[in-house]
Amino acid sequence: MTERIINPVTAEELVDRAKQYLQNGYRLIQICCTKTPSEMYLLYSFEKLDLTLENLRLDVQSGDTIPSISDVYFAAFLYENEIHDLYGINVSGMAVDFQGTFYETAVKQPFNIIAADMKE
Amino acid sequence: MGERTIIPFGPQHPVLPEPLHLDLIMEDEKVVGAVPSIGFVHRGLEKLVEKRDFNEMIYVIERICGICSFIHGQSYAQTLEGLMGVDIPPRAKYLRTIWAELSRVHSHLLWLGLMADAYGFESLFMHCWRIREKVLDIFEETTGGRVIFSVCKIGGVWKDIDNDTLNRIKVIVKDIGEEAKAVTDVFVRDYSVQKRTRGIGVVTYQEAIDLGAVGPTLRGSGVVQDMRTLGYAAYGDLNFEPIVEKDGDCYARTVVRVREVYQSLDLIRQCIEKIPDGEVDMKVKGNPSGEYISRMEQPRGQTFYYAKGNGTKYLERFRVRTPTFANIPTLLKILPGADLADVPVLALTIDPCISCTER
Repeated sequence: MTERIINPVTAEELVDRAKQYLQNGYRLIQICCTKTPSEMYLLYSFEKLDLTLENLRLDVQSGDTIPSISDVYFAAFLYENEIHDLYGINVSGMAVDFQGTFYETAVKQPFNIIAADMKE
Repeated sequence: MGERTIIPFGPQHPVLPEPLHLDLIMEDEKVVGAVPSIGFVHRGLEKLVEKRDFNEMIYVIERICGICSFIHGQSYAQTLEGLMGVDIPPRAKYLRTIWAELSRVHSHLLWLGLMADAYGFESLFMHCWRIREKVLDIFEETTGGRVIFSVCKIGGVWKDIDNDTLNRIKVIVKDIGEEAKAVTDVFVRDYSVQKRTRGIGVVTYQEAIDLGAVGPTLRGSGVVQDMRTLGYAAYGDLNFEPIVEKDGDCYARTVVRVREVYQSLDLIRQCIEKIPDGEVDMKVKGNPSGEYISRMEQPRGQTFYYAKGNGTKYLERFRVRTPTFANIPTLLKILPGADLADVPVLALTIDPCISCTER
């Protein structure tokens, strides 16, 4: 992924970094969660209209609460609800909070549980 | 203020036979709010990569959706090729482009048919789908499948199309364009259609950007963005410009799709004229390691693929962000203020594919 830029970010810096991207003409195109051997990380992808792509990487632990960026990028609420429902990461201050009903899965936070199983 | 009521739209509805549910908050006949629910048929495919060989997984991925099937397979193959540093043979790139653009034609014709159905033009609906059948016939002849082709592989494509067949396809494609003209003119010029679409569901240029809209929904608001300009597959060799309309209403989004049908037919013609001879696949050795992002243009807009490999034959993470998912905030923006009668048309103009969304 040589042409892709992934910048690390902390939960405290996240909202400010998102604002910087907004000011620089980027828009949010996705957020996804990925497991790592230690725990998980979130990948925030931002794109300019000229198709330049940059990403932020936020390391998280299962059950952590991270700030929402939906005040900066409204569309973030969809991804944040998805990550909450599938991975069990709490997101505070979402513009639209489905309270865990966005994905009504038979097993709550299914991806998180399997991740925990794999660590054992 | 009128009395507020909530009308459940979906998860099954004649205009959208896919399980999207919207709670429409109504004041008399006006929509004042909409709350979406998805997840009725979520399949957890992103998780399945941990249990399926990355080569086998392409057959699962192309079943994410019947309409975007080929482009999903192509996106997955391209992501894995990027991850493994594979540059596929040029002929395979052209063949992928031809099948992808045929997919766009059949997707847009299908959508135009559904749109006609949404405002009660049954005959127009059937004509759109009749023309689309010709595209499916090409798929059947060249791949053996009409919906799921299983022709894409990591390292190229499984099947070649001989040059005689390609020349015949060029003639069929020209016929499709001529036949489509009479049909698409109705969408562009008919008074009744314009009454149902002009000035309705307006998304401004800035709103389309801010809401993360993609594809014809974005370009219908005047934003010039098309992932094909990245030059993947054979697009770097082809001559085309993103199709853009400025008004941002249902009509503009319709016209973008109409024009894209002809653009795709032209791209297929260009591909057939330029396709080089040679191999169509190559052996790919080893297992994927590292992470890679790939963005492609599906009929509905940008799709985002992310894959993370760990050196085994199973991927560690695989992510698909489909265009419908990205367009849901736009749908929530255009519904408030609309008449109830316009809701089916508004919902359709983002071309929602719940099958893709519930991957």
